[in-house]
Amino acid sequence: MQEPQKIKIVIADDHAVFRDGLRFLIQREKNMEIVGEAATGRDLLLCVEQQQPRLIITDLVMPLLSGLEAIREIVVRFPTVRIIALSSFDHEQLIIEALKMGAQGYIIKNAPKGEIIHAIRTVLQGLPYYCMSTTPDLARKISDSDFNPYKNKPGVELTEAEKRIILFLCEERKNEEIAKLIGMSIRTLERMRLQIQEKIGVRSLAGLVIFAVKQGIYRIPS
Amino acid sequence: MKLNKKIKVIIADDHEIYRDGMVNLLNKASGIEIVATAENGQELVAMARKYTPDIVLTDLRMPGLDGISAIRLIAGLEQPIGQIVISTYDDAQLIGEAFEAGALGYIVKNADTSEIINAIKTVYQGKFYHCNTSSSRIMQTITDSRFNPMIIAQNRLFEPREKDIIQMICMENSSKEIAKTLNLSERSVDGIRRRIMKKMNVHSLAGLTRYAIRNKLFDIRKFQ
Repeated sequence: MQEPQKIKIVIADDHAVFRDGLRFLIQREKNMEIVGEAATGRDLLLCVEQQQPRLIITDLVMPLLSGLEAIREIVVRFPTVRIIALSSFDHEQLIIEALKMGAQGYIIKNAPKGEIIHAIRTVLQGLPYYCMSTTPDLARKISDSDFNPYKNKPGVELTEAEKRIILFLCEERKNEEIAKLIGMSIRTLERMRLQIQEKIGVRSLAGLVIFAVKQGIYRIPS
Repeated sequence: MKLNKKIKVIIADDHEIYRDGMVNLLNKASGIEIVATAENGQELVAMARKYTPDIVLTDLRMPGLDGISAIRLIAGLEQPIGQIVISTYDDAQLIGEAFEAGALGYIVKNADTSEIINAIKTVYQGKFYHCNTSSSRIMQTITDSRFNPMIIAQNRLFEPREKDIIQMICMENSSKEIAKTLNLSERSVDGIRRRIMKKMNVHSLAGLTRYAIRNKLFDIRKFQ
């Protein structure tokens, strides 16, 4: 019996130790394999050219052509490759640039390791991925930016009730409050919330807010 | 150093993936054992107190209690712990502060395994370690700066008054002039000068001046 094709992934980071940790993590997944590693933006481009991966995970700050520059080129030359950007916690602005350039998702490097795998799976499904530890400030900046992964895509069908719930969640109301306002039990609300998140493909409040802003359901108060 | 004793190391870095990579690499290295990891400064200090490692390897940029403060706190603990900082290229100033706080070595974050192991083993022997893959710019900054641990050691050797007198002697002030400026008797000044020369292990004013310049106790540019 022939083995199903593993998903080909290329990783780029100038910290050898970080690459090692990432490789170790990803190789443990049965359906994924790392086909190339790079420590510079230039090497990343070479890897993508040679290996034709489905997805790349790249740090944004690297010597000899940064991750951002590499993303810019990859999006043009290899438009089907999915991109997840990595950034340290104090370089948030770069994340926004990466998204605007065409990355589909981002992870802040101090995220727990399980998140990387989840991010990969999400992005491979064609959905954007927002790191779970996204600060409200970053969420706002992303919402304000030109980045919109939802345009040119079939709209998600949302009922009026679902839209109301999304709005209340964006306003950071608690489940109990929302349940009361809508007139349903907390359990029902919790179930609906999960359903909505599944429909939209987000896991975090930040993701929900960004979606809602881009779809015109919610506007962040200044 | 006992032959079969492994060097006990604690790693602090806010990137879990980086920590994992380190643990993997270093536990494979012979003679080194990672006894704990931490993801911020507070945790690091707590772990250091609990596990009494030989070496601590810490990132400087972490949210929460910063690396430098953690280094300072650990340097103040009773048991001697060799501290190595992990930094990025543009951290020259920060690296200097780390040494001032008590670190004995640094490696850049994209250093490879052999270099990291080298750093650990060197600092374990009580020796200062600086990164081989670093740019010379950083090296120049550190050796020139008041953060050079060799220089810091010199500075601790002399009391503030002694340092003042060293400066003035290098500026060719006589004992009389020094006494007047510092409001001391000439005898006191001579006594202090003798003490200074004994600490320096020199036997002439020329020797004192040379020592002072070499150890940056006197900046010759001020004289010109």
